[in-house]
Amino acid sequence: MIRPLLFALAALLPLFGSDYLLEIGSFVAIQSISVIGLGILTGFAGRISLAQGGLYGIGAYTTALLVTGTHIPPLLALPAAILAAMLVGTVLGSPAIRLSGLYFVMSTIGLQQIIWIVLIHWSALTNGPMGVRGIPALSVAGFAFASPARFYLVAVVFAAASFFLARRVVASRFGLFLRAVSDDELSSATSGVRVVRTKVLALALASGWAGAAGFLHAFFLRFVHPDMFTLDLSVVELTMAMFGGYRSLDGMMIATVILGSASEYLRPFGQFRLVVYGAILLLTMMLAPRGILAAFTRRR
Amino acid sequence: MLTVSDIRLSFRGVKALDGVSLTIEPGEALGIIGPNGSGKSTLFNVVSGIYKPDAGSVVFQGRTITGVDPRAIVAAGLARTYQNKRLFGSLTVLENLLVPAMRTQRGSWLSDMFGLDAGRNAGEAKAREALAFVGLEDLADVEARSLAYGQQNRLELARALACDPVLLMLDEPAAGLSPSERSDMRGLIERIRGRGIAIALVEHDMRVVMQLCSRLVVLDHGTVIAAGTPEEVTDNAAVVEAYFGTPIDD
Repeated sequence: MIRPLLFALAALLPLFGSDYLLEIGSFVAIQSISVIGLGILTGFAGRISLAQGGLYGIGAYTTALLVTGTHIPPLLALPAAILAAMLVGTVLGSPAIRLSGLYFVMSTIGLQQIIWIVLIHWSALTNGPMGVRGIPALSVAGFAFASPARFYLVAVVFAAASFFLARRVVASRFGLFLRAVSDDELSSATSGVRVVRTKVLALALASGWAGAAGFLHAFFLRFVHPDMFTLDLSVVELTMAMFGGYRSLDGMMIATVILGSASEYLRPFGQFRLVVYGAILLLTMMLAPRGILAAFTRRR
Repeated sequence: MLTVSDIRLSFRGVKALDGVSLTIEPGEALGIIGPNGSGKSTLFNVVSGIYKPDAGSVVFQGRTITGVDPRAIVAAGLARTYQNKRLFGSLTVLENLLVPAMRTQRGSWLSDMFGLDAGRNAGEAKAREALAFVGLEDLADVEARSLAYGQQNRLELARALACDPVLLMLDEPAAGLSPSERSDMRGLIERIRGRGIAIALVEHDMRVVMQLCSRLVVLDHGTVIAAGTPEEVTDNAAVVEAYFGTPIDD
């Protein structure tokens, strides 16, 4: 019960928050979707990916290009963004998913770079380094979510949907197989688990979640540029997925809120705020290597 | 039910298996013994599909399973345990058994996700049954990695059992156990046999092997050097030599 309540509380922010605060809130909500998706792959399947930012970009670009280039209803860009990210993530990622440990991480860096290079160089499709401008406000059946407060509510609803859907995924037998595969691939196979299929599915889900976040991102900034979706973003999202507790969706949400809004509450530190941010990360990893949530809740 | 014919497998020129053949009849308990490094575990890995042999064939219930995906081999009814315990360490004891138990349930994970699937209950019932069989009910919610060694052995056994095998391959199930745990383990294996499940047992403790198995196969340097009843095998000169070396003549 506490989780729906927290989302409901978050939805009350427009009552007292400034527009600026609502924009930070929207950004955190959007990013949480991508982080939760990455958490399915990284936390539960044990496959560390540094391509999530790029796949998020695929979702954002698919949305931006569809709504500026065609006259489809904006909401239809959502399934398109999800499918495009899943397609790219699965087709380019699944040959690598068989690789173990660091080799898979390195291949995802490659995937991330490929996506960025295509976005910036395939000008005929993506408008290259000019980015895509003129994205309209998100509207459903003529009702526009143009104001920061309205858009914020949409972002919170999406974040809640992403969170509760992911909870169902990890609680299902598929979630069980993911953790089993992450623990021991060989004995998973000899216990009857389709190891490769399970890992590819985790990759597809992570990509789909990134695509959904990208959809919102395009309508949030109403401008997309390749440099928004670089390795930096992937590193930030991976940090968020690990910081809160690698097998805890709650932890991932908390981490996204804490780290995503850091630029705001670290403001008193002025020019030193990045140093403080780094110190927070470093201390957390030293004191709670399994995530902040794991440090506070004792295992059974 | 299992026919292994002339299996050969080398690792970088080292012959791990050099023409191994054996058969297991339905409901039989076959002991596979031999000195360390004689190829027993390698043979298990070939039969369970982890290694693809260079030559030879494995036929299980009339179907050739040589080099087939391990998952398909379990699905056909051939389960195994590992000598160096390979449990799902971060999963609870019950979850370790749910993995094979859910795998065989009908219904997809998508329906499972939205709570539409009756297979969940059947899977859990099966997992709990395997748990009760090995007597670990009280530890159902404990992380597998925190189990004591003897409990891990029993969980390995339960996990293989939850795969619904007709042939169970046990790789040193009694290794490292105390005498009382050892006799418990022997009792469990006897009860599994009582259910009509055939057993291939690799074990160093000769007493356990002798009590459980009606027939033995002895491996040395990747070949079968003797086969027969426990009495025939222990009287065999080649076996004595493999274990103790050549007697010095006066």
